[in-house]
Amino acid sequence: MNYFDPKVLTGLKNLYLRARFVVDGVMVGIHPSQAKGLSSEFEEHRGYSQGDDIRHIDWKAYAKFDRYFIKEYREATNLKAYIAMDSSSSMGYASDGWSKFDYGSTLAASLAYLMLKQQDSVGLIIFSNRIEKMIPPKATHDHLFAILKELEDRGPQGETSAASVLQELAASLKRRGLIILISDLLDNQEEVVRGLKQLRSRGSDIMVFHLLDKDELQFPFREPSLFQDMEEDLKLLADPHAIRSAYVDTIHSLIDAYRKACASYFIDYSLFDTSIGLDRALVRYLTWREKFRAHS
Amino acid sequence: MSLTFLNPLFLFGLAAGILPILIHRLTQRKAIQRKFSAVRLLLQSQRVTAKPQRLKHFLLLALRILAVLGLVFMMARPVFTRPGLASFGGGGAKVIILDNSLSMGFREQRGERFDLAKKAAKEALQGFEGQVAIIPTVDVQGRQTTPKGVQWMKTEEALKALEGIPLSFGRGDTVSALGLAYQRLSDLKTSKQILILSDMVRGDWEALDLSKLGTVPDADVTFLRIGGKERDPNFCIKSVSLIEGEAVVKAPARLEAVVSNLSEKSGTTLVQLYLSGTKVDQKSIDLKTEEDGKAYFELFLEKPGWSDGEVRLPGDSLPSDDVFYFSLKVREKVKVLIVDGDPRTSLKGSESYYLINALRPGGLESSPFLIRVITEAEVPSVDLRSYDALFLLNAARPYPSRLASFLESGKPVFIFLGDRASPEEYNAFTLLPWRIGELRDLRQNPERIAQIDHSREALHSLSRGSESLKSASFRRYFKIEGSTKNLLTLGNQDPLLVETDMGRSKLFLYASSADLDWNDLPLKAAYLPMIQGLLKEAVGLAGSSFPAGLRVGESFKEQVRPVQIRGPQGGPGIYQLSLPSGEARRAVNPPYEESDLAKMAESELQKKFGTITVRVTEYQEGTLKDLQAGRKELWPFLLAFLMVVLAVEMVLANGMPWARP
Repeated sequence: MNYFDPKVLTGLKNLYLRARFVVDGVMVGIHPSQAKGLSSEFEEHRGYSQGDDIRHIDWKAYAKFDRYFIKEYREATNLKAYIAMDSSSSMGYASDGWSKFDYGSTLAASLAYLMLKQQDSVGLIIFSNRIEKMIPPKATHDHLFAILKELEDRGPQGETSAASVLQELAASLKRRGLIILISDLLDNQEEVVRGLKQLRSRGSDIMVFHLLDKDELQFPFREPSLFQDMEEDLKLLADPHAIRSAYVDTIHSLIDAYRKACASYFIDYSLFDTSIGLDRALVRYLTWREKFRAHS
Repeated sequence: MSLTFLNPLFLFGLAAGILPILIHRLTQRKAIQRKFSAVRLLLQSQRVTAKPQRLKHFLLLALRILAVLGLVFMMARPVFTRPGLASFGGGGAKVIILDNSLSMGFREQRGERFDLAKKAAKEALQGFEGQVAIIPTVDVQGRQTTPKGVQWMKTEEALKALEGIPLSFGRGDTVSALGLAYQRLSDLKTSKQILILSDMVRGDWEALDLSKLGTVPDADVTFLRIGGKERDPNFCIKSVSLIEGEAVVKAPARLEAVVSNLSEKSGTTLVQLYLSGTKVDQKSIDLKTEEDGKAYFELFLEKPGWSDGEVRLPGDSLPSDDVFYFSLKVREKVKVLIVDGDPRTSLKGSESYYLINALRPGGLESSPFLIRVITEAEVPSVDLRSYDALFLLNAARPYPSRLASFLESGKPVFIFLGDRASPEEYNAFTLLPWRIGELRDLRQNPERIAQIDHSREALHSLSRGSESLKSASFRRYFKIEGSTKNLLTLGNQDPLLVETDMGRSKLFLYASSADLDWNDLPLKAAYLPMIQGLLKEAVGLAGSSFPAGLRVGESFKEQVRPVQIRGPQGGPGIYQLSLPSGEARRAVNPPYEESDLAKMAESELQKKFGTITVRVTEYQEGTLKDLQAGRKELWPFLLAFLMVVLAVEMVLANGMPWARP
């Protein structure tokens, strides 16, 4: 069973289970020592077992007890993260029953679960054209359920204005931390980039998870259609075959523009097709987390 | 070239061209309503692709209509026919109009153009299996005046008939020739062709007016031009006339020959005068382009009777117009008897002095008149029958019996009055229609001539000298009463010179004196031409010595059969006519229009033919086969065209197969 396949995850209605499913699946493939042991606050000794890094052997205890002990520390919570989840109507687009919002909320839940498991503080911001809900970051286990409840209760609705939300966040967040933006970014690209830039200038680290449905990327429609926008009152009668090439060029131009802008501001940008597994997103986070730990 | 269809009924299928439009309208699929998250991006894309898309749709529709029309055309089996010059091995009807006008006698390096035209006609007929009619542009012995005169022949017969058509000396009647061709072709149902072999000189074709031909059948008209489109150089004699003197034995006369340079270059030519077949004189004249030049020849004729002459231009490429014929009726000098009623010992003082000088101003030799002056006393002893004209000058009486018999013989009498003339004697002569009235003495206030009868040829020529006549003053004259025809009238409306016809003769009465006693008219410049003119006219000398000629193609006015006595048979030359009044001769010369070898341009010719397409091709020996008619079915080309259209439509509609998603 592929724990990250969206089709599999669709079967799990409970978001907690989905998150745990995903996170545990990811963590199975990662050596435990990579997830634990690198902290500044001592917690306990444990006996050396084969495979432990010899750099962590407590040589003083060896001198006293003539046995190898490994020093384990309680890792200090120095990461404060916000997961900003786009809940606008466009996030409700689903080509095969698994909407961007479903994908995004599962990703958000998984990240929250993972962060809390790593004793990081995590909060949640749900936004459309404004901040719908904001849960401040905490590192307690119960906090996860508050986040999950909010994600489960919300559905995609309203128009997007990621740009204004980002600018608002930049003004309101007083402490630097990590902001994980999960959105389809179908907004004014220049405005969104301006918001990210403002947020970045306040010292926050930013990860952008750009979610797009495969229909949005490939535009596979064949029949002449009257396309109705999910947020605005926009309509277009078109022959998909005729317009496909130009549309694909346009969406990829948009993606490239985001990618380049983020790179120029040291923002971690990732594009995710909602038809592929969530593990890539988590690995992406963990990779970033490793870098963060190394620098801090 | 023309396009015909073997299955023309299929052309009704062209209406199917509307089918793609109907199908397009009827099969337009109803659009699916679809919610989409990135409609704004779609709109951006649509702005880029809208125009090309509309163009694409239009092209698709056009290609589909084109495909349907192409299919219909293909089923109608179009055939492209090129009429060409000859339908080798084919049938139908062909009329060959052969230009045999004078200009076709032009000799170029390849030979005479008429021979080239015949050669071309033979080439055009080679292998032709239909029926042929040959029409020359100049009628040959009146055979083709009606359409029935034009016979349909087989090719072999046509070739023989072609040989029998001679080069003419006349002007081509292209309207008649085309008219006959149209009439003969109009009844036929087969393919028709008119082949015209001509040098296309303006003289023949400029006057072409198709509106005179009535209904024109749908025949192909092809001109096979012989001799190129440039104007050929040519000199010709435009006219010959006697400009001074009369054709009188041993009297000098002057002949004028007008020569035209109908070329684009100036040049020099010899002009030769032949009399009775013998060259008597020649001149050389320089002529600029388009210029007429004059050559003058002095004539001194020795014998009375008809004298035939020619003016020739040697060394020309069109020899037929290089000879201009003329005929002169040479007569003996006119014998004039003058009865001087007031002779003096001094000739100058005599009554007849001024009249004699007027009749022979240059002396005895140069005058066409032979003059004898007698006194009244000699009148009874003179045989008046040997004289052609009689003048009575200041004679006391008119000698009625002698005068009557003279007038009966048809000879003119001129009476001049004077102080010795007795009005009673004259009035007693009952044959005279007038009465001589009282003597008017106007010495204090002389009268002048006020009216001149210009309708008379002799006085008409004086119109420029009328002031000279009108300046003469008349001091004394007799008033003439009765029915008169006034030639000269004084200011007080009294007649001065009157005339009456008396049988075949004429009688003139001058109311004043012939000398200067009563008037000064003899001193006036107009006196001499007036006296000579009246006398020449009265004795039939004026105009008759140089009869007007004709041009080839014109008819003789006289209703007698002319006999050609000089010139090529049936062409220009001297023709003799046996008239009741005696023998007459007429010179017949080539038509001047044929001498100008300027050619009609193809565009001008096309304008004259209006909507009928005319093809003009230069004839080169042995090249006619390249111009022969052709027929080609077009369906293979249409099929290929259809395939291409469908392939383009498929690619345009669906994109390249390898580029499809």
